[in-house]
Amino acid sequence: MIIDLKKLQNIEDIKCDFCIVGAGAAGTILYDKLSKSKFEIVLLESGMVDVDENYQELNKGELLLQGKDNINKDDVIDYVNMRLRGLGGTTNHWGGQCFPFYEIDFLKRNWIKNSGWPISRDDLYPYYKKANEYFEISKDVWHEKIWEEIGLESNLLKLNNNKVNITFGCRAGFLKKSTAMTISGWNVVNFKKYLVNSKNDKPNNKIIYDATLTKLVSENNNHINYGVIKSLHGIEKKIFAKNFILSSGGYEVPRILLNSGKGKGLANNNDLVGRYYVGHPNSLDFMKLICNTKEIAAKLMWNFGWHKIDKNESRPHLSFKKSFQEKNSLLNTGIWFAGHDEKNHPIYIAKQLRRDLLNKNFKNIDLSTKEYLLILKNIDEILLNIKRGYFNPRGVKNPMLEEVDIFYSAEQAPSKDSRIYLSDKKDMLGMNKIVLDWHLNELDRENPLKIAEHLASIFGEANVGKIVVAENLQEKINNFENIMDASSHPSGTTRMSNLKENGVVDKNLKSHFVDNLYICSSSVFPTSCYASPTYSIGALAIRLSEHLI
Amino acid sequence: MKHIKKRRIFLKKISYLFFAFIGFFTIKKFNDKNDYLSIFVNKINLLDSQKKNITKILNKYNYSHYQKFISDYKISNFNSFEDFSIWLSERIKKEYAKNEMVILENTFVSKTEVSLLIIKYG
Repeated sequence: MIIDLKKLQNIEDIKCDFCIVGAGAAGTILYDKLSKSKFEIVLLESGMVDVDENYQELNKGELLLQGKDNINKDDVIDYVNMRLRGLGGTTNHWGGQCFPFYEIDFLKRNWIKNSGWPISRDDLYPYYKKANEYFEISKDVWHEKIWEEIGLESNLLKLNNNKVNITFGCRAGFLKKSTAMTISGWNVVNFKKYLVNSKNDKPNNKIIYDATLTKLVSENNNHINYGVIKSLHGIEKKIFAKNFILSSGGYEVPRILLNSGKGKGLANNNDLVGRYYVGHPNSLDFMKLICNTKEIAAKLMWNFGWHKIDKNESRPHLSFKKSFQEKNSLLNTGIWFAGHDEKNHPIYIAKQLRRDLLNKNFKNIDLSTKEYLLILKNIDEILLNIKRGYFNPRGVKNPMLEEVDIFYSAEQAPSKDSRIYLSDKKDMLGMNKIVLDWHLNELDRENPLKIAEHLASIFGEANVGKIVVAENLQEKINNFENIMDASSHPSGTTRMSNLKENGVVDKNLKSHFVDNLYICSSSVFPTSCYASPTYSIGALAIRLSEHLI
Repeated sequence: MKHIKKRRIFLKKISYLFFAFIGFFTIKKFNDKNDYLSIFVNKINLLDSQKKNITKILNKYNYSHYQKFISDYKISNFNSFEDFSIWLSERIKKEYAKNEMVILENTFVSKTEVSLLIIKYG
């Protein structure tokens, strides 16, 4: 049952077995799984059914970079618009990128201080497969055999496979047939549908919206007595639950805990709540690849563009082998390739022509003889693009440029100084806002140039091309925080560890200090890979639900 | 934009160097069979308008790997231009594989490729 908090005005208190806080990907999966059990479940969502900008204001926080206020901070972080409040949470506008974390992400790495998970990849891998149901992923695209199935060679460019892997990232959500050959074939899963269309709803299970959990009250900081819920319409209620599960993301989970309990916050006995914040240092401006020929550039773009695989679209990228990362003390880093959008590219011209014909916009069709000839010259490749559902130009006979853009994305090395704490300022519901004091360390700043050098070596050895680094790369690296968006994937603020001295939750996501508190969000990641966190959050949610039932 | 254009021209030169020498695989007859390197470098067709700029850039680098390259070349005994080409190609490949590169005009270039540029313009 989906219900507005104001409709519960006449009920004295809300009671349940499990109170899940936050209706994003993790909260939705947990609700769906737990509501099939004997337990009574309440899912609280701060926003409305649909995303409403009035509720987004509750996200507002402050930002420091390396402990200092920074004039460019508004360009760096967009608290208000990045994380969404409403059923489905941020899956209302996410990119949908899914691939499992690597074995190395879970390991204690001696060159990365504070690395290591209390579980292994093998522990989590079965839950990734189970999560595919929610993420609408039809095939195990991470298997090497997939290359043969879609007619590509896995090592077409003869890159040194002792150094790099080519890995597919899958976009969550089945494609609609009509999306082939459109500029954007996005049909990303919005988790809201699992709540709105829930088929296993029992009367005692409730999804309550406009219900922000502002505080968890505990007499002794060992057990939560109840939670305080507020709406933007002035309603306040208490919720009594046998167990609370916080699944409201890397910013809100520490914020709730620091606003709760007594003294320095709930579950914060060792001053770890909010610490070890990690984002995803990334940039498209660090380096470029200049291929030795236009044909090589075209081949690269063909392989590293979007591919339709079964019911999904997938895109490969380069990652570095475990042994190579170990040998060179690298952060786990992903490299994507992107060509330039050329409006006079034959594939784009053909796409536009096709769209105009399908939409009967005959007035728009105004092709020059040269453009017709370009289409005719490349007709085989264009037909292959349509057949395979490719979305980017590839394999054409007249590729436009040797230059290929490189998108760099890396994990961030966890550091205790990188943290979230409470500001003195309060939001509309009386909760203290957050301050993110974001710190990058030397490893984060050395990694881009190391990666550029290794890529130059790999592409040079394979006679593919040369790596050109940005003119002012050192300056860019020194001001890394100023040139990227840190707000997309907040992680690590209530990290998982077997030892209570090192973490907020144990390997089963249960608090080390509060006997009826669980956390399921990217905030429990000790390290964050370079992959988007949502798929791993989903796997953790399924694992937790099976642990609890 | 100006520097991007400049860099592209520079990269093209390096690429021409490399591809020009690959082109020599097909050339069977030479006037001086013992000096494949001079023939190779002299035959490379590059734009002279950028010559001054290239010289300026190359002057910033020390010549130690150039000297090593010349010395290695002299002690090698090639029976044909094809032998020389394979030797050069393998040398460049190995240098890239071992990260033996320098950053020239923001571009990672193998030491041998820098040496070839020095011979031409230095």
